[in-house]
Amino acid sequence: MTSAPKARRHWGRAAHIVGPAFQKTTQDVAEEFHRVYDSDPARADPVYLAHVMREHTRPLILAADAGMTGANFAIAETGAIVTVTNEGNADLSANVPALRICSVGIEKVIPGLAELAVFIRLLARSATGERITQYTSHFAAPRAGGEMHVVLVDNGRTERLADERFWPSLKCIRCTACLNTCPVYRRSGGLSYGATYMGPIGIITMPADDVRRYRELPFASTLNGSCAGVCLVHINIHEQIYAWREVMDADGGFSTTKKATMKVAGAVLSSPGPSGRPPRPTARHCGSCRTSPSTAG
Amino acid sequence: MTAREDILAAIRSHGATPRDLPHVPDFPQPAGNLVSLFSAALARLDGATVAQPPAVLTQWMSQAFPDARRVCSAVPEVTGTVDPAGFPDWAAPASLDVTLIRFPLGVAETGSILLTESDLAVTTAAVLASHLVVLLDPVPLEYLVT
Repeated sequence: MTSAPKARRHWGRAAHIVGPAFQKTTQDVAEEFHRVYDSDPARADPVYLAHVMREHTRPLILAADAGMTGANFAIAETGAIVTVTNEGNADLSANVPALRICSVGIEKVIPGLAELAVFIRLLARSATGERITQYTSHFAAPRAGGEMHVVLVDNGRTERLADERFWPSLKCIRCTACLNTCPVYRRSGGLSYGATYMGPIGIITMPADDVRRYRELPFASTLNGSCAGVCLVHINIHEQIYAWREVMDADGGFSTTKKATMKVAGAVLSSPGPSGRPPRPTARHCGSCRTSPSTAG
Repeated sequence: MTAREDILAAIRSHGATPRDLPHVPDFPQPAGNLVSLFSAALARLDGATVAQPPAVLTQWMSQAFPDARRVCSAVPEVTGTVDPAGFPDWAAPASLDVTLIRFPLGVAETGSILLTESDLAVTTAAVLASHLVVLLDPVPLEYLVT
């Protein structure tokens, strides 16, 4: 599709894995659609906006020669790719064009339908509060007259699998429960992470993709453990965040100045004041403070 | 070595210690009428159930969708204006107002219905139509997601 990237450039990165534009109001959407699609900027009701989007994007899908989707799960028992959506975007992309291409991370493979029933329950309830999403689709084979190609993606996953500290992050089903409970994410928002995946799960997955680019992310946490407490698949997220800090330290990620500052801060904050309680932080901020997850929590 | 073999070899050599799969429990079925449970779950998805089937389905369709011009019927009880077997490609059903089909399975827990390519050769007739009317016999209702 050609129009979506145009809107994406204007709006920047996704702010949430499940709801990429959670931070926008319906009026924001109405104004953006007016700019991109010349719709009525005064009409901010979701039904109208959904119709505007449908009118402009459906023709693109109907005319497409190929449709590409990801996968929420791949079932070893049946060989099927399973997508879970509410908008039907995966269903339109996979069903309308004759050529169907599925890009599947190898960690999406699960044993069978019995396990899928559990994961579907976990994913829908935690991601959107539903018992099931509008569409849960299985693509097990090409249709008569069509083609289906499955691209299994490693991209560092097998290396992660071999790492005893970080392999549990491969269990993630992208339900976003860790984002929704994280006190840092809830105050800073997803855009401030500057990454494809944000929040606690982003902190432990993005450095694996590019350790230098995302070296600050492991510090965007208070290590309160709320993320691990709600994780449906029992990923030790906060422990992995701490382990990533150790990786960054071993990699020379801490400057001498930062180490000295943190040493002083540790001594001050661990010493009770005259009242017997640790000193309260002042309202003054240093010049390096900025709106980012690393300073929000 | 193909990319697939590369990945499989890496998994074998890097893989964590094999673990037994956890037991997947049978989820208990709550007491209650499955049709009522299905209807309540469907309502949460903004769907509506017609509990008492109309005596004349064609008449009910006319009343429910008075402006429908292109009706695709895959059931013998109603003759539509569009043949479900006559679509030249998967994009062709985009102009449908209503698709009517009998589904083999409903799930009471979620209000879901099962559509397969054996029920509707061009499955986009169910996805692209503005309205979807489903005939669902109460007997094959299941509670669980499977």
